[in-house]
Amino acid sequence: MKQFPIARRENLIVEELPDEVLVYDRNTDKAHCLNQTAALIWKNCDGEKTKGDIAALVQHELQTPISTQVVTLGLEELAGYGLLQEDAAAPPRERLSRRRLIQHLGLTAAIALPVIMSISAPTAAQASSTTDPCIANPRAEGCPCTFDSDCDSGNCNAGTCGPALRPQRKR
Amino acid sequence: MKDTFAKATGKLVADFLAGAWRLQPPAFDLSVAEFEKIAPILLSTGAGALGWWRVRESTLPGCAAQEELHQAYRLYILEARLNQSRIEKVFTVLRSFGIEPILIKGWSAARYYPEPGLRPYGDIDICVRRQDFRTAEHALSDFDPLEFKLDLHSGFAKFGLQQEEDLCARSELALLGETEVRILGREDHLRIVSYHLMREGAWRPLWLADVAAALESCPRDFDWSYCLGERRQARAVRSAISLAHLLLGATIDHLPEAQRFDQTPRWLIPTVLREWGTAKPSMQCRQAVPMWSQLRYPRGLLSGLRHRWPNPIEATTTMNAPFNDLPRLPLQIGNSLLRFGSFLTQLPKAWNK
Repeated sequence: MKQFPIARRENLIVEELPDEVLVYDRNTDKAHCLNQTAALIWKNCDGEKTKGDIAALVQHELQTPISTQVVTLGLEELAGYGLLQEDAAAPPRERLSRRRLIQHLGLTAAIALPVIMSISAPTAAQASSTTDPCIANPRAEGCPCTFDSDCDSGNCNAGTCGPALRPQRKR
Repeated sequence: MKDTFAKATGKLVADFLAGAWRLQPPAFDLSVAEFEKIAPILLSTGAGALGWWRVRESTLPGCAAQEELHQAYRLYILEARLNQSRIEKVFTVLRSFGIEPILIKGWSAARYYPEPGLRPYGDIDICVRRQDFRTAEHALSDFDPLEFKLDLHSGFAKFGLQQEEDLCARSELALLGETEVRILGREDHLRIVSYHLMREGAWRPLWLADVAAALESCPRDFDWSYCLGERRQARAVRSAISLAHLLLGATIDHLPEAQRFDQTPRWLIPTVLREWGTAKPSMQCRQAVPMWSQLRYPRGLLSGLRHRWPNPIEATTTMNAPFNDLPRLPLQIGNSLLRFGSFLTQLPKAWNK
């Protein structure tokens, strides 16, 4: 683990919300959501602060006890998502497991653990009127059809390809 | 039976979205089961983030739909940021060619919401004067179509607005990031979002929320006689305003009595509710698979034709007919014939694509 971790800033779009930070990585076209703890750890990775300094600052901001182990876990997660400048992940022997940390700190402290979540487009959240999976594959689920044979699933239901139906077991 | 079910679901969507565009939406009073029933519709029509805005202060234990809407909200916030930088680039390039574009719909509709991510937009709709269209096309030809989903329009006729010079003269500048972008004046914006909603058959609830948000942002000096001046277009605009008021509870106190809709035709609200309550509205299916593509792959042709049958709102708007209680069937037939004619003229070009 680097002693003075540095946050990656380039090619990222960062949007700060009241209780979380959203990050869009233009290199990978992936979006992440950092909870307050993860966001504060990330924000303080300026190449000048140690894990201990970061832990003290985050503890002050959140008014909750934060150990260096929590910061280590946060740094590992940030590195895993490519949000630190260099690979700051700890060697395997030092790696922390979230479960072990919760056991060690207790459930109350677990609330303050850093969490990074990937944001994926919910089922149909991409509401652009131009994106169309049916042009790429007119036989896909959700595409218009007339007969069962028009669908990959073999199930044309009310003019739309439905999911594949389970074959009936013969008794 | 199916129709009644769709209308009941549509009514739930309308009740849920009532006032959702406001900074403080009204209290949320749907049951979890009702909410979970309409959440997929909100997500598939781009109203997921708006849905989350409505329920953000409610606790719905174990409700996966609430988290899905929250994800949509997060995603749209980032998309809005990405789109903003794209719009800035488009304006910079067009201005370097001596063209002053006007941004319509999309961002210019989103700015009436409390947060830009609440109103997602996939395309960047840009209007340029008719004489500038070819130059603009050339100027934007280097943009990667996968990154920049640009919809470049020649003039404003497609949106029922004819007086190009008036529109440009009444347009205004708004700050987007570090760039001033040109948008329509408030009156023209309301006309365009209303007309667009009606021309598309009002199938997307978010578009009616656009009308409601613009309507409630009208300043005291809003020029209603100009906004509702063009007689033919005014019918559609008045109907859209009426729908925003009746279905979503938009305030119309500042709308002069004389400009209000006397009586909404009896088919208007049921048509909207039917569209909103259907898992796959016809217009959405129609846009998803163009007719020329369906001819190439004839499977699904029958349902494709069915999706092309216009609903009464689309037919009335595109045929410039009055919104009254007379039967809509002649207008629906007329609209279909017109579109079929236009399809035939474009077919050879599409076939060669």
